[in-house]
Amino acid sequence: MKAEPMPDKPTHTQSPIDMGNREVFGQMYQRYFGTLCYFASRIIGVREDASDVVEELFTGLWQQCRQFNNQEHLKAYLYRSVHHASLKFIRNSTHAKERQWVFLERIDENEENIQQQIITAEAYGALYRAIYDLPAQCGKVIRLAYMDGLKNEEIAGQLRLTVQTVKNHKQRGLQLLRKRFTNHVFPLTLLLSYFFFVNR
Amino acid sequence: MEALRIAELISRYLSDTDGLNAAERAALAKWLFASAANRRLLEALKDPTQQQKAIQQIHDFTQEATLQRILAAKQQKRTFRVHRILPWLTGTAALLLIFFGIYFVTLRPSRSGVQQHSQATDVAPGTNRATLTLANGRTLVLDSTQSAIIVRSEDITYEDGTGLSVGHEHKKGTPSPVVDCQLTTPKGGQYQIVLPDGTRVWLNAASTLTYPSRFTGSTRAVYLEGEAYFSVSKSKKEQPFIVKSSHQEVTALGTEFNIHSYDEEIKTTLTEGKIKVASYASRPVGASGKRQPPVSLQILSPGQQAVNNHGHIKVQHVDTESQVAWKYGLFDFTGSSLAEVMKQLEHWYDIEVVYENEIPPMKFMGQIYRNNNLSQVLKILENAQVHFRIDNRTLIITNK
Repeated sequence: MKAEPMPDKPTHTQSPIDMGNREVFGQMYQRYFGTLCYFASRIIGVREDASDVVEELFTGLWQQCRQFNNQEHLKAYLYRSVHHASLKFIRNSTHAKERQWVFLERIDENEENIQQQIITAEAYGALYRAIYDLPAQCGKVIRLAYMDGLKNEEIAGQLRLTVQTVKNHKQRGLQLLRKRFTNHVFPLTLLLSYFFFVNR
Repeated sequence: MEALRIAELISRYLSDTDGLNAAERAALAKWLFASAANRRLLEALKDPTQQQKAIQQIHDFTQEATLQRILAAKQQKRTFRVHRILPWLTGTAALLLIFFGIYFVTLRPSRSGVQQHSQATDVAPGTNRATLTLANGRTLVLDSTQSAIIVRSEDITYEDGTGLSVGHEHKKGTPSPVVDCQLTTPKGGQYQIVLPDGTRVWLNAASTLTYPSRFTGSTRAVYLEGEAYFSVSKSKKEQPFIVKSSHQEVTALGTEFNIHSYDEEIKTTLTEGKIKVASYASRPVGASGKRQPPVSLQILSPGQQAVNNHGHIKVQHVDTESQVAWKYGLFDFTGSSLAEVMKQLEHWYDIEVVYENEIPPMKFMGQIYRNNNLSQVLKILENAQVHFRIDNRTLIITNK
C-alpha cells in the first residue's frame, strides 16, 4: 500500500521544514522522491542506480535532521544535490566509462540540458502531485485504475462499491483531470505576442 | 533556481490556463521567447501520452518500502557538535580526533516574537535594512517591512509593486543618463535587489553593491564590497555579467554564485553554471575603472570555491549549501573555525568580539536560524566549554 502524499498548498510554501521530523520527512518523501528519481534517471540512464542515488541523499537528510527555511529552499537543494550526486555517480561508475566520456565531453551543451531536465521533471512532478489533489473516493478510483492498473471489478471489490459507482467516479475524475491536463490551451502565438506588447 | 520557477509556471499553466497573473504570463512568455528549445520543451510537456508515462514512472519510484528503509537507517544525530583539535595530537590527527560529544538541539525560531530569557543583555538578530544612494547624492532608507527592490529603466519599486520616491528629474521620452547607484546594508541588515537585466542579488550584512542604472555596452558590470549571492539572468546578446571586488573580477553568463569579500581573502562559491575568476594586484577605479592584466585566472564548475588571497587563487571543492545558507536565513557553521563564526556574528548582530585569552583551535558543525537572538546562538559556545559575556554590544570570549 502506498501512503497518501500531500498536495501542493500555496500557504505551506513559507513554513520551515524539519527533515528530522518523521511526519514532515514522510510528506517530503512522498512529494519529491519519485520526481527526483525520474530526474536522476535522465542523467544516469539506469533506474535502479537513479533510485539508489536519491535514496542516499534522503537518508542523509533524515540522519542529519537538515533544516530548510521553506519549500523553495528545499527544492533548490534537492535538485542541485541530485544533479551533483548523479554526475559523481557517473564519474565513479566502472560500468559507465563510455557514457561518462561522452557526457563529460559535451559538458557545455549539457548545462542547458540540465535546466531543461529540471523543468521537465518538476513540471511532471507537479502534475503527479495534482492527481492526489482529487477528492477522496474519486481520487482513489483514478489511482487504482491508472496507476495500479486495476479493472473496474477489482476496484469495486477493493473499495466496496458497485461497478457503476466506480465508473461514475472514473468519469468525474477524468473530467477534473482533463480540465488540468489537456492542451486546448492558450495558443503559443498569442502568448508570444503578449510578450512583444509588454516590452514595447 | 530559475528552472524551478519556470517549472512552477508551466505546471500551473498546464493545469489552469487562467491560473497565472499578468507578471507570471510575461515571465513565461519571456522564457519561451528566449529559445526554440524552450518552445519545443513546452510543446512536449503538453503531450498527454508523455505526461502519463512520466507520471507512471514517478509513481513506480515512490515506494513505501523505500521510505521505511530510510527511516530505519541508523540513529538520527540532531547535533551541534564541536570538534576540538588538541595540539599534541596534530601529528596523528588523521587517526585520533577526540569529540566532545555534547548534544544540542537545533532551535526553531519562535514565530510569536516572544523570547523568554532572564538575561538583561541580549542582542536581537539582523533584519531587512538597507539604504539606496542615487547618483545625485540622495540617500533613501529602504522600508524594513519589504525585502527586495526591483530596478527598471524607468523606475525603482519594491518587489510587491509599491513605488519608491526616487525623484527622477529627466523628461520622459529622452533616454536617462546612465548613473551609478549604491545599495548599502549596515551591520545587522540584509536586502535583495533585482537589477535592470533581471539578475537578482541577495546582499548580506555590512555590504555595498554599486550598479549602473542601465546596462549598456558589451558587459554588465557591478562592484561588490562585503557578501552577496548572485542569480545572474542569461542575456540575449552575449553580454557577460561581471562582479568586481577589491582585487578580483568574476565573469558569468546565466549562473548562480556567492561572493564573500569582507577582507583580504575573497571567497567565490559557484552553485550553478560556470564562472571565470580573475585576480588582480590592484584596486580598480570605480565600478567601470580599468585594470592591469590579471595575475591569475580560474574557471569554476559547480561545487567549487575560489579562495583569492591577493592574486593567488586556490580552487577547492566545498559544501556549497553551507556557504550560501545565509541567503536562506540560516547560519551554517559547518567546517568553520571560531574566528570565522565570530566574524559572521559580528556582521549580523552588529557587535564587537573581544578575546580575553587564547582559544584552542576548533571546528564547528551545524546550523541555526539567523533570526534567533544572540544568546541562543551562543549556546553552542557553552557546549564547547568556551565562555562569554555580553556587555552592551561587545561580546567577550574566554577560555575557562
